[in-house]
Amino acid sequence: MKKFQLLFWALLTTLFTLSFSACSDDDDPTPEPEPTPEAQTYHFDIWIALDKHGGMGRDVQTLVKSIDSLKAGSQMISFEGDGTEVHSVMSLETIVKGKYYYQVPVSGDRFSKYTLSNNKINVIQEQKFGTNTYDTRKYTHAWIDDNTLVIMASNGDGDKIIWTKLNTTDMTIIKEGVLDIPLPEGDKLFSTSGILNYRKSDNKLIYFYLGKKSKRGDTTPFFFTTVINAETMAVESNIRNTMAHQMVGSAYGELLQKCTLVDESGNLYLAGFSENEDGTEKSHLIRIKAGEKDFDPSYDAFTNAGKLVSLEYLGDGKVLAYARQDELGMEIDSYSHYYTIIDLNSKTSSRVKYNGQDLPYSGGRFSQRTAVVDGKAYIGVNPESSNPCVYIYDIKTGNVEKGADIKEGYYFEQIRVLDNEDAE
Amino acid sequence: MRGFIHVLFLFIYLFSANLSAQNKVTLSGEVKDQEGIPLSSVTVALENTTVGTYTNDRGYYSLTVTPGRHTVIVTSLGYNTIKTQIDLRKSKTVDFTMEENSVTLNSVEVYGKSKTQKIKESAFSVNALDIKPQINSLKNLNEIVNRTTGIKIREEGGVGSDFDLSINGLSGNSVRYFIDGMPLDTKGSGVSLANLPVNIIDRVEIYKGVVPASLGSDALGGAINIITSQEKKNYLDASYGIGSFHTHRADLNAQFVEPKTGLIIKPTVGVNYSKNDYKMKGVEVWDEDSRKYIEVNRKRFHDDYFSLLGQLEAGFVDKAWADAFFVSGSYSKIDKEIQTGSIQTKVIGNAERHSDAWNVSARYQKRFEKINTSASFSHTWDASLTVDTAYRIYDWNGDFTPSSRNELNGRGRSMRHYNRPMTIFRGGVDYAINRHHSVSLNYLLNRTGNKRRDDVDETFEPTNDVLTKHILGLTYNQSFFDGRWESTVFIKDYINATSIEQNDLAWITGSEDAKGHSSNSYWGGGLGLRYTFWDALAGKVSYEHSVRLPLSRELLGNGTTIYPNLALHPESSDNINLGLFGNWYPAYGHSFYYEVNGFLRFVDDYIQATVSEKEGMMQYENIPAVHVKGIEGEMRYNWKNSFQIMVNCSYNEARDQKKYKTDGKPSATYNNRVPNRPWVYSNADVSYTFHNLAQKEDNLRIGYSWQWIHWFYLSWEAYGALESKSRIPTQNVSNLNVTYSWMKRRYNVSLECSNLFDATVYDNYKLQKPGRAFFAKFRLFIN
Repeated sequence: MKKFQLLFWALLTTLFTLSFSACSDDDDPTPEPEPTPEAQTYHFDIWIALDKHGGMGRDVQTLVKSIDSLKAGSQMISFEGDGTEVHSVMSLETIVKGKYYYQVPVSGDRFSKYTLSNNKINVIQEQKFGTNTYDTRKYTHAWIDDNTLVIMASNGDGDKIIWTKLNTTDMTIIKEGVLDIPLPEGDKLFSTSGILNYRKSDNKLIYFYLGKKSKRGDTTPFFFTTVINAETMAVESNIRNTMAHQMVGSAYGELLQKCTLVDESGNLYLAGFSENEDGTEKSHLIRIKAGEKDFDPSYDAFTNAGKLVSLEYLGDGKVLAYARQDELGMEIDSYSHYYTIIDLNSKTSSRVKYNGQDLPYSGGRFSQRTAVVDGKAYIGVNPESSNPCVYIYDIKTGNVEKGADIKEGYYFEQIRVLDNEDAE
Repeated sequence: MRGFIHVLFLFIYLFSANLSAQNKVTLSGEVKDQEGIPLSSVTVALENTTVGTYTNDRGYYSLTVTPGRHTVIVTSLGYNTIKTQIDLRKSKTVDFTMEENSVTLNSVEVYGKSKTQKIKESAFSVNALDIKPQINSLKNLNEIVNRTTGIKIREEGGVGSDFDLSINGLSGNSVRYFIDGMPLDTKGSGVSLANLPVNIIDRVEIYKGVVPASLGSDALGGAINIITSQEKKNYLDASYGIGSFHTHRADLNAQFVEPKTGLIIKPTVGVNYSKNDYKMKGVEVWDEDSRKYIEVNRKRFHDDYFSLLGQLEAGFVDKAWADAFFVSGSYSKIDKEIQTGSIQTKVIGNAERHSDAWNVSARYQKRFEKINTSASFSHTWDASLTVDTAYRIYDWNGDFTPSSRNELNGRGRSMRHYNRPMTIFRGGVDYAINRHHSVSLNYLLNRTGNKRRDDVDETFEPTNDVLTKHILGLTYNQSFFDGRWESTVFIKDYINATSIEQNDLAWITGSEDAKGHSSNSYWGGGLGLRYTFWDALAGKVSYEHSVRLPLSRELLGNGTTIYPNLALHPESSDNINLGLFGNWYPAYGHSFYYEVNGFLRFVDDYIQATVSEKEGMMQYENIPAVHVKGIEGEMRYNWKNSFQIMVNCSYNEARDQKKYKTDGKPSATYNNRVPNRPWVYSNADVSYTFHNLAQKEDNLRIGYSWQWIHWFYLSWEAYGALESKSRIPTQNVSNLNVTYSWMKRRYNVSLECSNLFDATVYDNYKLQKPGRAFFAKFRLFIN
């Protein structure tokens, strides 16, 4: 036993001496300091509704709670005595950029810029309507640059498409006007909002819209694509597409749910759908190539059955999509909605999995419970058999970890990510 | 239902014995004037005791007294007091004839019970308001009803504004309104407590939760029955009032009795006008210089209101062929500008509503020995128009921005006509089996049409719906122990007949199951019991399983924004009331009254508007509703009819009973207090009347009233940080009024200052109500 002890001490001494000799060759003998993590400059706002789904009724109590992290381990997110009550001023349908919320608020007479902090709504700047007036919730938008926002919608009579360009720094109206497009042949009015997007590569606004034969009637397929010079707002082309009857969620623009994206190459993608002869819907994810004015007839990246509900671009040709498996139910609250990653290049999709299992089906069609920040996608689910929660998808590795839990009892509507007010 | 019938039979069995009080005798009789006309409301009392009563409409009185020698005093304003000794060893009938006297008594002792007091003490949970004492200063009926126990009226603004009346926490369509037992709608859909001429009203009965079958109503939360004056003399009652915010009010009510034929002619006219241009405090307007919305005070600028109600009634009373027979015709007209939406940031500057209604009606009453019969018929042509054609967004400066949407709902231009012809038949038979038992059978037919069209909205498809309701009620009444025990049991059958032709959107509307003509029957019923232990302590309990049939709008939609739901069930509620009350006369000239009531309401299949899948579309659905429990109390003290004080307080707690959300998961709001409703409130009135102040037979009444409502949240109180939540602040409103009457109340002048301290008061969704306001009224009453 003593021999072993002697051998052990001898080896240890040798190793220590060798290592000391190695360090002595170092040019800089001072130890490297521990890297300090950068302070997080963003936070998440969780939007929920009580009573019934928000967004469609003014009287629904809508609450927003700001959370620094949606990682697991923290306490279950609860709104009991907590969160900002917003519905008397703000609607659920909102535009988010940087630190701010922008919207036509409940009063329906102005454009507003808000922050939410310390459980209250802070009015940063407002602007009374100019010539063009908009209805709360019913408009579409696009950012031309960080400070220039375009709002667009059909007017109340539905016979014109009106637009307003805002400087969001001070909320002044830069310019407003009427889009020079005719009513679709045979139609009597434009549908509510349409979908607007901005393609930076050629400085074009691209507007998708539909016509209707009467106010209470259905929209007339197929939808139109209008390419607009973002500087002059002149219409450069106006083409009826042949690939999809309608855009997804055109009533609220993209205030509730996203249905467009532009990839790194400037290709614009749009979620749409067509009605089959048997009354079922077939969804599409179609593309306008960079610089083009109409859809690529050979491209449709959504091959699943069922309805494609919303999109969230993850970069590098990957899209986080919220879709519905129709045979499990087509009601708003049916537990038939699932998350899938669509590869825009291979036109394939695969369900998001956690621990080898698909994420559970969710209820709630008009929800956008996804946010992308810092290389991660945050995915909110509302499963039938357990409380709502968040999963965190690592975009680079594809790993999924379980995130925060949300207390049962609310309509879990939105996850929004915003820069902190004190961020640079 | 079977359980209910068992209870009914048990009730009849237990109390079918002919019970009577021991060691008491009855003094009864009739009081008439020198011309033989029965005198009502005459005080008949025993001297130096607290035993006394009032004569009824037919001049009859009845007193239960201990045998012995008593001094009976008979008093009434304008008549010589009769004082006589009577030896009462057994029950006796004594009639009195009173002589008119120019000298009015200083005061009349409150020995017995007025009609309103008797109604309050019935087996039902009921408030009865005597309007006459306050008629000189009263602007409208809402004012006084709102000050009673358990009632809360939430107005949206000034004169003529829409309001919501709740009885013990239930409001809206669950409360039904009647005038002399006929639905108030028969006078026109625009006629309400707010614009009915007050001069015609004798009293108001407010039934809480349990509604007598005789009203033939499908009320869920309660009913308000306005009883008009049924005097049998010639009179002219005219008044004119002028007040702040360009308010004018004129009422004329008269009665002429043709001596030869006995024909009675009763013309009535009531006119209201107000600009309602009161100041709105702290409203937002855009300031271009600072580029901000700033808070300013601005006057309302689009809230003119005009109402007219004219009626002519003619008929006979006390004829061989009829105790009462009247026919009447009436016309009502309401013009109303609209100033705000449901929130005051939504400013409206052009939209308005108009309504016109014509009505003809007849009523007949005849008593045959023990059987009393009555029948009423009414038909109303009711037309209303909502004009919303301006494409403008207004602000509180009165300026506007042109828009491309209408003002009310952000849609296209609209001139929407609603024609609602309404036919009502009401019949009743009461049979007094003996002095202890009586039964009555009542029937009500209500046929309402709802024809809609639009002059400018081409997309609107005209519709014509018809709903017919039959409500049958059978009531059994008991009275024992010389009236100390009173009980009532009733059952009601509600039959709802619909004629449905539409069959589109069957998966949404359920029209496949409704299949054209259909008829459904629903049963309800209840009971009430009152027992008087002593004058100072009586108790009552009542219960009703009530049913409310869906309205046409709820069942058939509105043709534009509301889908039909032909599968809609009636909403129902189990209502329970428990009360204690008593009168106490501690000393000569002092009277004291108190009441305490507890109540429970278990509402089920509540009909509520829910947002449907399509943007902007709504549909009424049955949902588990609310449970309401509460307690309320009132105390009144009267000293020689000169000094009066009243305090009441009401507490009710409504809890949401929806356990699951639409996605089938537990609801966070289950068992939470339902938001946006006052839950604790109190009222106090104090008045002093000086008699013979400047001249004989004059009166000066100084009154002060105070209303208090505890603050409440506009949203579910458990959720959201308290500092971010909208709430209606506590409201304290004081009102002061002075009324001077002279020449036997022939001339009356009143001055009122409402909201004395100019408090900023709100109601629904923080809609501001008027600040301090003044109102002067002159009333001429020639009798």
